Amino acid sequence: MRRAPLSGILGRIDFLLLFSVLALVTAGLLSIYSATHGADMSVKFQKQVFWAVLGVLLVVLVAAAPPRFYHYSAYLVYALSIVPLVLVLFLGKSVSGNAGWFGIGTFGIQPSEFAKIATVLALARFLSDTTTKLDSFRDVGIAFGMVFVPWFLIFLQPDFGTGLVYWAVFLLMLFWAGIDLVIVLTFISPVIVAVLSILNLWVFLVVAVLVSILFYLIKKNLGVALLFVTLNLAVGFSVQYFYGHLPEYQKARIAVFLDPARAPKTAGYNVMQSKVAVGSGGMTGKGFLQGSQTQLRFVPEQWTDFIFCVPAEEFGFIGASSILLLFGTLFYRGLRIARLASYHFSSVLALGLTSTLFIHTFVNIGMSLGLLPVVGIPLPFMSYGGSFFLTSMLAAGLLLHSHMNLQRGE
Amino acid sequence: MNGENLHSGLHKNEVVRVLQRQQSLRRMYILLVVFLACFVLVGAKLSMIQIRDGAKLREIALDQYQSRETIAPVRGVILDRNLSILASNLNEYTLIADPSVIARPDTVARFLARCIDMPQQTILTKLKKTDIRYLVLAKRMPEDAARPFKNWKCYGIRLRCTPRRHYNFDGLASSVIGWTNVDNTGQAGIELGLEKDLAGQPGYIVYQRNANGRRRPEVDYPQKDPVNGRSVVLTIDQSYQSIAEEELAKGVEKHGALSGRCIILQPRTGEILALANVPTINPNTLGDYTGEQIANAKNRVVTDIYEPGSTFKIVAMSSALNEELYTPDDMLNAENGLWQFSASQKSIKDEHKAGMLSLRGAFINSSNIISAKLAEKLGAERFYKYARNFGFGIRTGVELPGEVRGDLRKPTEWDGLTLKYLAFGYGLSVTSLQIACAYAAVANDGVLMRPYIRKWLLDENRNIVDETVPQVIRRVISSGTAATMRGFMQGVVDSGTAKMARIDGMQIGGKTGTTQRIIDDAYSSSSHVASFVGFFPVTDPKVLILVILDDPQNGYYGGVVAAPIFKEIALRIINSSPEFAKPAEPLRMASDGGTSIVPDVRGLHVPLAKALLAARGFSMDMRGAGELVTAQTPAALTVQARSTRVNLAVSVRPRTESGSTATVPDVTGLSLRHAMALLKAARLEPSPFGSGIVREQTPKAGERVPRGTRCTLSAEPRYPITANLH
Repeated sequence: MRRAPLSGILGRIDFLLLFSVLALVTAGLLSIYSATHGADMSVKFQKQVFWAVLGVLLVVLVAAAPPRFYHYSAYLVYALSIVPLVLVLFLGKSVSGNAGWFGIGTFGIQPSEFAKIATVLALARFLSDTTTKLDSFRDVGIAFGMVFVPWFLIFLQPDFGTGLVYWAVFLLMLFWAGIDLVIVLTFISPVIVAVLSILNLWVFLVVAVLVSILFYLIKKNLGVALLFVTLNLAVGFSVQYFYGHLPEYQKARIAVFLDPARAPKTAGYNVMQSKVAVGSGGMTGKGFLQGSQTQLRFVPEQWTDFIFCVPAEEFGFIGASSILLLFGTLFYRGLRIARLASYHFSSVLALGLTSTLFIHTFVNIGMSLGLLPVVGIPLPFMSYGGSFFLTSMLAAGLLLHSHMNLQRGE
Repeated sequence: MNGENLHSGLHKNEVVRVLQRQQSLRRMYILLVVFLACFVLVGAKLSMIQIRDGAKLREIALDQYQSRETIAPVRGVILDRNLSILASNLNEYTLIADPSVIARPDTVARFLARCIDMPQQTILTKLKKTDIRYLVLAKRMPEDAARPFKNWKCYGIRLRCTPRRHYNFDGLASSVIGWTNVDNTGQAGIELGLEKDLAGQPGYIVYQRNANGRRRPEVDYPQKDPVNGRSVVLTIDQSYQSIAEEELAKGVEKHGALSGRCIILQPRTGEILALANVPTINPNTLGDYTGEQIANAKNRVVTDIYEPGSTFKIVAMSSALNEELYTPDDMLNAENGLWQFSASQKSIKDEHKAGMLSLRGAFINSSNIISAKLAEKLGAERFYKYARNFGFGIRTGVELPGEVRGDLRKPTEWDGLTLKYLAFGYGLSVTSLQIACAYAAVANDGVLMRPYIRKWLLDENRNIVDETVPQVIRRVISSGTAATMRGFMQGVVDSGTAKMARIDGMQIGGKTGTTQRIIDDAYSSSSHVASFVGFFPVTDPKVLILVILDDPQNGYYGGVVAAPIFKEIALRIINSSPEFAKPAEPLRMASDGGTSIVPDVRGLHVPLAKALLAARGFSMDMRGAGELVTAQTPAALTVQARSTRVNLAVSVRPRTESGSTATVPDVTGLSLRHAMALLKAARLEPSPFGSGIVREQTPKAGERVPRGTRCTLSAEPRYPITANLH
């Protein structure tokens, strides 16, 4: 293989994507500084700077790998990622109720974060394989199993939020790989129906009927549609039934989870404070290090899951929407890679990575704004914490790698 | 063809790939739409929170992290015209505990038990309730009791200081000064009327609170200092006030009257020198009174109306003279004491029956009949105009709250008899102050002055920020008419209805009034209002005194009930004020062309000293810095050329004496008011006896005593009162 000249390498770098990533990393560092500077927490900023440097090196390293390196190593990486997930169940230490950590000195490592990338790699490899038939139950079952293993291990830690990401990414990748929409819908609709049935019985019924009609229109197959409707209604009513028989305090817990505004003093406190911080930023914000809610530490754990409040409060709507724009650019470039990659593995991989980052971003910001329930998942490139930060950088590196090798055929 | 060729030329795998490409493009669009929808959702929510709800959430944020604590301003004090403090401020303390943070309750309880009136065991029990965060241990502690806690730094125990009003002379002038409520807001009298000036503006300090509830002063909002209230210097003379109150109370008691009121005015300026009401209350112990007692302690001089009776005859008499309808010696038919009108069955009677009376005689003997005839002669319009010009039916505008304007109907609302009755003071209502002012107008050569009680407003450094100047309302009668009227009034005292007000050696003019009180809508024959208004000396009236008694029991004529009280008050004023005494040697030299007597300005504030010196034609030089004059050369009361520059040594009040001791100044030979001012300046507590010139003082001059020591001053009138005054 001929070595590409330097100009050729430069020409193949996705600068827009790289710029978005570096800008987000910078914004994240500034936000962490703002949320932790002062007496006893400044060490967090120093640690994150270390991770950032390490992360940038990682991006370069990952992007510079030989063209088909990840295609070949995908299953190996996947297998290697499962091992620590098992080990952590026995050797891990617990951080706020989650036992998925390895402690090394003052650093903690969460193998479940890295496993996301490994799973995406393995799925990409499997789904892009020419021998894989997406209309066969066996192959879809294998793909399902590839996700189920790490998800189950993480579920045991227990970590609910991280597990959710796996399934969301799985569905998007299946969709991109060309699976029948009906199967995707079959996966999604019971979940939607279950959630709706807790919130409001009538909304659930209306949605269930609408989805069923849609389903029928797509398939034009009355038998399957009826089966589908029955399945949804069964799920909806059984959830209703079990929910109705739960003790009051558990009902309350679920209700608050789905709608934090119900309990602004207790379970919904974080979201309430987060909304106050974001909202009080207004149009232009209060200025760097001037955000009252941030500086006076009203938002609990702001440097991790609620990091978005910091720029939103201190730089206002302008700052917050700039960050949204950076993420938007990043995802657009990711999807573009997925579409343009002539190499099927790269395409599915790019889609999987973009989806992973997107799900995190959407759920995290949605949670900060009170749009979605509080699921403890961090914001890519910005939240404090080495494991997920490096995972995000890894994903960025892989996307850059895919972009560099857009035109390499199989 | 081409397409077919193309199609056939493609490998089967490639066909699949092209189809896949087309399909993937569709799926990409779906993905894009899903991603975009999520972004739109987040963006919409973000703009809702930040732009639509921004202001609301910012307020919630402010509530969370900022707490604003007001700093109460110091309320201005109220002083009399000689700068004696009538109303001042004390600090009261509340001792508050937060048992949830007290580390060693037993030690704390042991200490507290020594300082507050509560057994150690009780305190300990209270402090051990650690779920309580706010516990009041002691209330209304005076400064002394709170002192141990001021320097005691104990986390969880704090003092809260509340300013409270203190009235230095208890009930003295309470109806004028009024009082404040627990929040130190004026409720009555000057405290209410001048609330805005006295209260000042509160300052505040903004604290920042973090999520743990810790507080620290906010750096962005520096503390705003309170603007302390302004002090009010009243025209009231403390000694006149106490004389008026004492004598009025004696009179009310002697006659078993329901209530009494007294006004002392300076006719030339309209300054109110004293304003007394009986019964009264002591605002220092407001809690001891019933609501009714407090309500009755209002300043009836301006809030209550009555029918003036004969005192109102000055309107008919002075306007008839002023309009030159008659001369003082013109004779009129007094109808032998009974004037029956043919038209109705009504009649007017006179106590003093006479056939023909001169105008002078009619006034001296208070003839209702002649008064009515004079009013008839004047006609309704002119009579009404004069009554209005004397100030009846109009608020005087004095700075006292609750003033009413009385009731003087317009001629269009009169019936056939109204004018006749008005002429001798029936069929209208007036306030006591209106009567006093009308007479003051006569005393002041016919010019009506606006009465006032607020002399100066002082800022916290005791600089004069506002001064009320005497204000002419209008000329009511000519100077000549006024002089004639004063002559008539002197006749009233010398040989008329008010002989009991006579003081030998002093020319006094006045007029009595006796009115039947209206009880159940009818004039009562057994319940009266007795009044006397008089002034002296008649040739140059300096003091006007009005005395009114409601429902006196032993005798009811104004001349019998009110005039003697007037006499007692007047006597004491004459005896205690150098103004009315025979001038002493140096004073006589004051009239020399180029010289003047150096006033005694020791102990006074610089602006005041300057004003006093300037009034005598002196200029001044100051040595030292500060606001209080400590010494002067040339000495006080020496005669100096007008061009002399008087050297004043000044110093700052708090630093004149070091530490907590003070040197007793020599005040013998000074007037009592000067002596008191000097002692106060030296942070000593004067305790005066008598009035006039200080003859003795204890402790002796030059002694060093602790601050606040009570210094007894015994004073005697400056000049022995000659026997002929009595």
